[in-house]
Amino acid sequence: MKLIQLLRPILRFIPEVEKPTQKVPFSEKITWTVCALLVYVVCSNIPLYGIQRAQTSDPFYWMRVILASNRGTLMELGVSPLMTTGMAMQLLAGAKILDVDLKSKEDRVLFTAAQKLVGLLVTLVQATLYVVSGMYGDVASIGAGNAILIVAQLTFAGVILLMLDELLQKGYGLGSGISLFIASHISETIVWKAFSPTTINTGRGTEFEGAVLAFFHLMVVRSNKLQAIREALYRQNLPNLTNLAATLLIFALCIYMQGWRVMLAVKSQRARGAEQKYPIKLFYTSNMPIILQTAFVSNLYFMSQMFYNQAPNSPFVKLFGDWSPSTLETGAVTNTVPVGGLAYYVSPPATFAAMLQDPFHALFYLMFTLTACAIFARTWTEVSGSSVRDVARHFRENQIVMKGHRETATARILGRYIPIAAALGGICIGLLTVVADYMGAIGSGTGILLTVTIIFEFQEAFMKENAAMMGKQSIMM
Amino acid sequence: MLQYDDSAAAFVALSFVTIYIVPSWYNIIKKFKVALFSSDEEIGAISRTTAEKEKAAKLKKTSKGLKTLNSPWFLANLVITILLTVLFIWLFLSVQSNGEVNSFDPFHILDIDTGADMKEIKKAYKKMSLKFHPDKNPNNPQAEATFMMVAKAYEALTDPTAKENYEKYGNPDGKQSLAVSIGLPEFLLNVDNRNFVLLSYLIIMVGVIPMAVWSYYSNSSKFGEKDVMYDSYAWFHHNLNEHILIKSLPEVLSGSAEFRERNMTKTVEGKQEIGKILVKAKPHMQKPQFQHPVVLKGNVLLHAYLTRQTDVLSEASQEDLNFMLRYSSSLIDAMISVCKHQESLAAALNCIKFGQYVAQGMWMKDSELLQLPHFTSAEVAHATKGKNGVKTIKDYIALDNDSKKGLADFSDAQKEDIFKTCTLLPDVTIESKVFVDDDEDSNVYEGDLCTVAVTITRNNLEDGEKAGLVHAPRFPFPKREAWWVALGTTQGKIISIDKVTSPNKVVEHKIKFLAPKTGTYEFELHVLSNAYVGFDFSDSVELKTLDASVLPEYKIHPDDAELDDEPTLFEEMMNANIEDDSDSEEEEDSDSDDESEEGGIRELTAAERKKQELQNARKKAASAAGDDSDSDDDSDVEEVHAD
Repeated sequence: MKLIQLLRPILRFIPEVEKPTQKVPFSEKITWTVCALLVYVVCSNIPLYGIQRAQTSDPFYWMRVILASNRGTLMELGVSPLMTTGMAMQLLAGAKILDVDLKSKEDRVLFTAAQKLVGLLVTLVQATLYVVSGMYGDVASIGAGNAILIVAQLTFAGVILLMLDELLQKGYGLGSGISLFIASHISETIVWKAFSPTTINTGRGTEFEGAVLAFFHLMVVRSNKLQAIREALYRQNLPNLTNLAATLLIFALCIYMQGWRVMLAVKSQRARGAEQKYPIKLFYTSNMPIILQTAFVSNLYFMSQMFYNQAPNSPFVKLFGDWSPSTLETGAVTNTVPVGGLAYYVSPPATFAAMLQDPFHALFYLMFTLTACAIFARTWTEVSGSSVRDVARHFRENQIVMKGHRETATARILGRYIPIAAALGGICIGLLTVVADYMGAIGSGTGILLTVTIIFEFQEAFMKENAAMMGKQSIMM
Repeated sequence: MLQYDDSAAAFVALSFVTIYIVPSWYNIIKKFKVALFSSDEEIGAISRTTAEKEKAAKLKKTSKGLKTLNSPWFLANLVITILLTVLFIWLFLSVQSNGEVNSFDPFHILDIDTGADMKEIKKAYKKMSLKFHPDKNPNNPQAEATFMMVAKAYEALTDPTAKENYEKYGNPDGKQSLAVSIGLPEFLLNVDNRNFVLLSYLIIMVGVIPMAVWSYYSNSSKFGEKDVMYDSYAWFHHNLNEHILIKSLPEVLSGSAEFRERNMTKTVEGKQEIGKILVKAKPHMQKPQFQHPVVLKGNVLLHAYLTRQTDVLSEASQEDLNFMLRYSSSLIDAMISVCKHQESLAAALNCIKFGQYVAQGMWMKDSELLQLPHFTSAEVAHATKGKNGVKTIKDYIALDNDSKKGLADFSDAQKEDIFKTCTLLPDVTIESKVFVDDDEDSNVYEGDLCTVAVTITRNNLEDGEKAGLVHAPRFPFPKREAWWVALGTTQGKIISIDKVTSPNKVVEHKIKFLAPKTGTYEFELHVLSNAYVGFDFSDSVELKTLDASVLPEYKIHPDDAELDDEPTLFEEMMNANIEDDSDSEEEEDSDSDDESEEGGIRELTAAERKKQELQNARKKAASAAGDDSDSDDDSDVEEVHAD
C-alpha cells in the first residue's frame, strides 16, 4: 500500500476548484486571470488586524522579492507555502521517495490533494511561527485572542491564494498563479521605484523616491544642471536612473537570451513528412536554478541570523555569519546585513566601491552563485522529468528519431545537448543575476530574471491561445 | 500620517506631463513630415506609363498635404498636446518661483565652485566672514544669519566629523529627523472638498474607466481577421456557395457591412442618379437579386466602374465608389477565405477572378487586351481580327513590337507606353512536385504528410529584382502583386488555397496534406494573379500513394531500450558511498575487459564508459557481493547480448 493512499478518507474535506466542464474561451481566461491578480493585489494591501508595528529588522527581507509577500499585510506569507510544498513534493516524487505513478489518474488526484494538504499545514505552521516568534509584537502584549486572529487571517489568506492558483492552473486562466503573483509583485516594485511620488527630507532638502521623478525635480531645482544630472544618475540613498537603466538592460538581455536555442530536427515514424523541430533552449530549466539558489541562500541567512541572535559572540556563529544593521539608509526600515562569515561571502557586494574594497568577496560570490546555479540546473532536469533519459523515453514512446541519425541512439544525441544546455543555461542565469546585482538593478537580479521568464512564458501562452482562437474563427466563418 | 505637498505635486505633474508631451510632439511632427514631405514612392504614386500618371497625380492629391491630417484622433491629440504644453510651461514657471527646496550647499554659500580646493575654501571663508562679521554689521540680523551659515559651511568642508555628516545626511549637524510626504495636492485632504473628491474618484473608477474599456472592447469585437467586420463574414457566408458565378459577385461585395452606412441613399437626387447610372450599366448586369438600396447602389457603382463608365458619376458617387474600392482588396480576400471554409474550389477561383476584374477596371466579356493603356474596343478589334489576330494578352505580349497590331492610331509616346506595359505584365513559369519531406525515402505512403512544392518564377524580373506595384491605372489605389496558389481535388474540393505575397523572382510555396489511401490520385493546381486578367495557370498534379505496410518497422535503438535500467542521479548519489571503496581497481578492470571483448568494433566514448561503470556499480550495490571479478563478467556478458 502506498503512503499516498492514506489520504483517501479525507479527500473530500480538502477544498477544490471544479474543473471547467467545457473549454474556457480565451477572453474569459483573460478575465479570470485579471480577477485573480486583482484579488492578490488587494490582499497584499490589506493590513493585518491586531498587530503591533514594532520597527524590528525584517529577517525575510531577502526573500520577499521572490515570494511576492508584503510585510504586515494579508500576503505576509506570500507564495512561500505554495512554493515550498510544490518543490518539496516534486523532489520527493522525483527521488522516488514518495511512490507516485503520475500516469494513473487516481494517483494524480491523490498527489495534488496531498500537495494542497501539506500546503495548508505549512501555511498554518508558518503563520504560528511568525506570531510566536514575535514578529508582530510580543505575544503577551498582543494577547492570545489577537494572536489567534492573526494566525487565522494568515491561514485564510493562504487558502485564498491556494484556490486562486488552482483556479488558474485548472484551465480557467493563463499560466500558474504563483508565477503571476511573483511577476506582478516585482513589476509593481520596479514601477514604484521609477515613479514613486513619495518625497523624503533628511535635511538635504526634499528628494523624490522615484528615480524618474527625481530626475525632473533635480533638473528644475538645482542651479548646476550638470551636477543635477550626476545626482539623478548616481545618488546612493534612493533609486537612481542608473538602477533603472540597468533594470531595462537586464530585461532586454534576458529576453534576447530567451530566444537562444538549438533546434533538433526530428521525425516521427508514425507521421512521416511532418516537419518537426525539438527545441533545446539555452535556458533549459528556465528560472529554476535561480529560484533554488535564492531559496538556499535565504534559508542560510535565516538560520545564521537565528544563531546570531542567540549567541552573537560565539566564534562558530560568527564563522557562519556576522550581522550588523545596514549602514545605508533606505526609507524607514533598517535591515540587518551580513558583514562576516559564510553568510557575508555568499551575499552580493552592496556597492561597486565595496566590491573594490574586498575583491575576494566579490570573486567568491561570483564563483559560488555560478557553481550553485549550474549544479541546481543540472539537478533540476532530473527532478522535473526533463533529463536526457526522460526525453529519450518520450521519444521512444512516440517513435521519434533524429533526422539523419538512425544508427545512433537518441539518448546519446540528446546527451550532447541537454546536460550542457542545462548547466550552461544555469550559469548564464546566474551570471545575469550577478551582473544585475552589481549594477544595482531595481527588484534585484533574481527578481528581474523571474519576471522576465514568467512574462515570456505568459506571452508564449497568450500567443498560442490567440493563434488557436484566430484559427478557429477563420474556420467558423 | 503622510503629508500631502503642493510643491511636490507640481513636480509630479510636471514629470508626467513631460513624459506625455515629448513623444506626442515627436509623433505629431513625424506625421506632419509624412504629410508634407513624403516621396511619391512611399505613397505608391509612381507613374511608369502615361496611363498611370493620372492615378499618381490623384493619389498625390489625396494622400499628401495637410488635409490627410484631418482625422478626429489626430486633431484631438494635437489639442491635448498643446494644452498640456501650456500647462507644462505654467508648471515650470511656478516651480521655478517656488524656489529651491531648502538644501544646504556649502560651496554655494561660500560662493565658490563645487569641489574647490582647501586654499580657495579658506580664502573664501576669510573674505565672507570679514564681510558679514557682526562687529562690522551692527543691528543687521540678515548679515548675522549669513555669517552663521558661512561658519557652518566652512565647518562642513573642513571638520572631518561635520564633513562625514554632511556627506551622509546632507547636514553637518548629523542626522536630521526624517520627513516623508507624498506628491499630491493638499486640497485633496481638505474637509470642504471631501465630497467633491470622493465623487470624482467614484465617477472615474466606476464610470469612466469601465466605459472606456467597454467601448474599446465592443469596437474591436466588431472586426475579425484582416480587419473585415464579422457582419461581412456572415453576409459572405450566407451568399457564397459552390454555384456562385462571377457576375453575381459585385452584389455580394456591395452588401459588405463596411458599406452599409455610407451607401444608404437618403435623398431623392441620390436615388435619381442611381437610376440614371443603372440604365447605362444594365446591359452588362445580371438581374439584381437584392432590392435593398445599399446593395443596389454598390452594385450599380461597381458596374459603372467595371464597364469603364465612371464619367457619368457625380463627385459624391465617385467618392463612394473609391471608398468601396479601397476596401475591396481585403473584402475579396475575406470572400476567398469563406470559400476556403466551404471547400469550394470553383467559388474561390471565381472570387479571385472577380478581384482581377476589379483591379483592372474591366468586365467579363471584355477582351484581356483592355489591360493595355490607351486600348479601346476599336484597337482590340484591330488586334484580334484578321490574319495575325491574337485572342489572349499572353500571345499579344509574345509578339514582336513591330508585329503588334492595332497601334496605328497611336502616337509614338503612346506606343512606348504599350511596349513598356508589356514588360510590366507578369511572365511566370510554374513548376510543381510532390514528395514527402523525409531524409531517407521521399516516396509517398499512405498516411504520410506529403508536400506539394509549387515554384513560381517571374521571368520578367532581373535576378535580385523585386516585383513592384501592379500596373493598374484604373484602380485608384496602389496594389501589390501577389499570386494565389490553389490545390483542389478533381471534384472541386479545396485542399489548400493561399496568397503568396513574396516579391522575389523565384518563390517557393509548400502545401502539406495527409496522403489518402493507397492508390493514384489526380489533383488540380491553379495559380492565379491577384490583379491581372489572363495570366492564370492550371495543371494537374499526380499523386501515387504506396502501401504503408512495406515501410520498415520502428526499431528501438538498443541503447535507448536500456534507458530504464540506468540509475537516476539520486540513485547515483546514494550509491556513491558504496562505489567509493572499490572504485580504482574496478575502473582498470572494466576498461581492460571492454577492450578485450569488443576490441576494434567500436571505440567507447567516455560517457559510455562511465555509464558502464555506473551499471557495474549499481549491480554490485544490489548484490552487495564481495567478489569483484564475478559481477564484472556478468555485466559485460549482458552488454554483448544487448548489442
